[in-house]
Amino acid sequence: MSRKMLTEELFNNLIDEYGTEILRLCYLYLKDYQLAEDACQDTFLKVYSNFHNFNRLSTEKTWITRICINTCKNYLRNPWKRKVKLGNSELIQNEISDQEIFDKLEKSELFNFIMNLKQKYKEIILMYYYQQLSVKEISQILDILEANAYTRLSRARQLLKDEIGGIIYEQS
Amino acid sequence: MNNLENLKSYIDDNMNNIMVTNEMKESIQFKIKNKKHNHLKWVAAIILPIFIFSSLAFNEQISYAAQKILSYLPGTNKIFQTYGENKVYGLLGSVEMSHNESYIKVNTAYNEDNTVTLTMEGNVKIEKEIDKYITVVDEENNKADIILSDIMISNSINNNDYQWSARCTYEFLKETNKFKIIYDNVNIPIIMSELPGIPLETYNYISVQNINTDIAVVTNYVEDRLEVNLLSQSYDKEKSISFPLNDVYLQDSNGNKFYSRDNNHENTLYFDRKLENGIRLVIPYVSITDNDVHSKMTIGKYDSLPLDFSLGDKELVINNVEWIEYNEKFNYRTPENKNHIIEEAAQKIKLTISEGIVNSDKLKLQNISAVVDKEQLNEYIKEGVKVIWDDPYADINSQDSRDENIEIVLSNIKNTQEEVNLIFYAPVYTTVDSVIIPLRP
Repeated sequence: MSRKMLTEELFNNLIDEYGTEILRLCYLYLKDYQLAEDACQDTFLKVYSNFHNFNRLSTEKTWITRICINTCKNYLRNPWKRKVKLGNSELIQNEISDQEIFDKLEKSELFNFIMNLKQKYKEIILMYYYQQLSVKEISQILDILEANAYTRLSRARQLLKDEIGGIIYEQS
Repeated sequence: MNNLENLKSYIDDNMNNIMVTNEMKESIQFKIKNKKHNHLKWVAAIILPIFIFSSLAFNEQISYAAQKILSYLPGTNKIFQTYGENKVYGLLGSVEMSHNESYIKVNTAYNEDNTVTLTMEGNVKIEKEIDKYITVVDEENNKADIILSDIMISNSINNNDYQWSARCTYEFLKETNKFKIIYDNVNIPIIMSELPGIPLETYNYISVQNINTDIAVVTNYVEDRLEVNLLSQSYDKEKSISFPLNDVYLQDSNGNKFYSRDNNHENTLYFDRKLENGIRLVIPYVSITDNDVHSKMTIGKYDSLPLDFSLGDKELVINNVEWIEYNEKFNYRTPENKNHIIEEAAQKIKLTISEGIVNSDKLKLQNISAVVDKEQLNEYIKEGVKVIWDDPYADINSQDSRDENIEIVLSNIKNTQEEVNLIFYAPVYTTVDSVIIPLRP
């Protein structure tokens, strides 16, 4: 399988194409804008560092999402100890409020239920319905069998259905 | 929204102010350009021959090893060397034992004499004392002693995401390549294969004595470009090696220099050149970080200068100390996720440090890390308050230098402090001489 060199232009194209979706996915995972921004940047740093290992057996989106998911999981696992950076104007002006954003999002009961699912069900719902990845692609990202991915997705849908009373739409 | 099919548009509509900005892109580019520490990346899928250069032709500081047997195991940051007396064994692939959703996985294993180092992960119950739960025995059921362990456990055992990873070294009675890992009456047999030993010749390898480090080069062609992987092995466990990748170049037999077109910051470089007779790789200098030394000292506003101190075996001098009062600004968030900008009087000190005497090891001090006693720093992190975090990649305290002096700025000091207690640590040195490695055509 031939491997492609990652030029600056190609790298910028990757950020332009997938960056915002990855940032939003990080945010949904971490529920903290600053952490999400860090995780998104970490994801693309890893993309840059490891592009030579990208074997193209999966799509770029699948590969980047896999890195993103693993980065977010690490963020959730590790108690992040970071220093306060002082006197840095770059960091000062960001006024994005997590609460305001989630207040808006959580107006939907279905969204609330998705966010309250166990991690493994939440992530598969987000990957399938938000990122619109196929079950095969999700199985590559989660490193599980396609059949298991399908089962997990079905189980996640069922949990939502149980919670919300059968009013959600299901794709057959 | 009550339809999963609308989830994408629902999230995108409600998160329309969350998007990758030009500042974020620039920040990513900045981090890439400034990522200083280059980690080893072992990319080969098979064990590759690496060859030794055995002449003293280029530099008296560098002696080229001869007649060694060398091999390496993909996935480990190690070059294995023997002189033909001991065999090197490694696990070529991973071994996993699972039951329902519980598992233990052995990712790597390799021996050095009668010790075996394992990296494992799993989600079965263990605690920090891993030997209470996991026993390793040889073929004759002699228990191996655990002599080194480094364990990371995420989440509590009651959490669904409970997982651990461990790197452990076990000592056997004798050299072994077959053993068992026992967890709760479950046996995981491990059989390691002998790594083929390659007699080293005259290319692609160098032993740099003044930093006690071996450097090997593995080359490959990727889409008509020459891929050059730099592998290094420091024999001081607390020292790490890095290379100035942007300054590394190929030199042909006519002395022409060719710099890499690209690198991946993990010690892989790409050149628009083909290997040819007489070509060699030139590393202008190698950086080595000593993670095992530190030095404490107190500096007062009215101390007379210069101040001498030792760091490891280096004698250093603080030539100048500048105390600067300033108002620091930072951003913090309340538990309600509201941001506030805070401004408070503080002071910082700027230290100018140089080497005290010319050392004979042909190493030049490039950088030092330093911290101030946290009791002497302003404290802003309060319970329930999130602080806007620092960039984990930034190194704000010190500044690399190829000049004679190093400048370190330590900020966030209480404005009432008349003196500060400092700890200097992790000095970074660079070789004065370049490292030249002939490449096999």
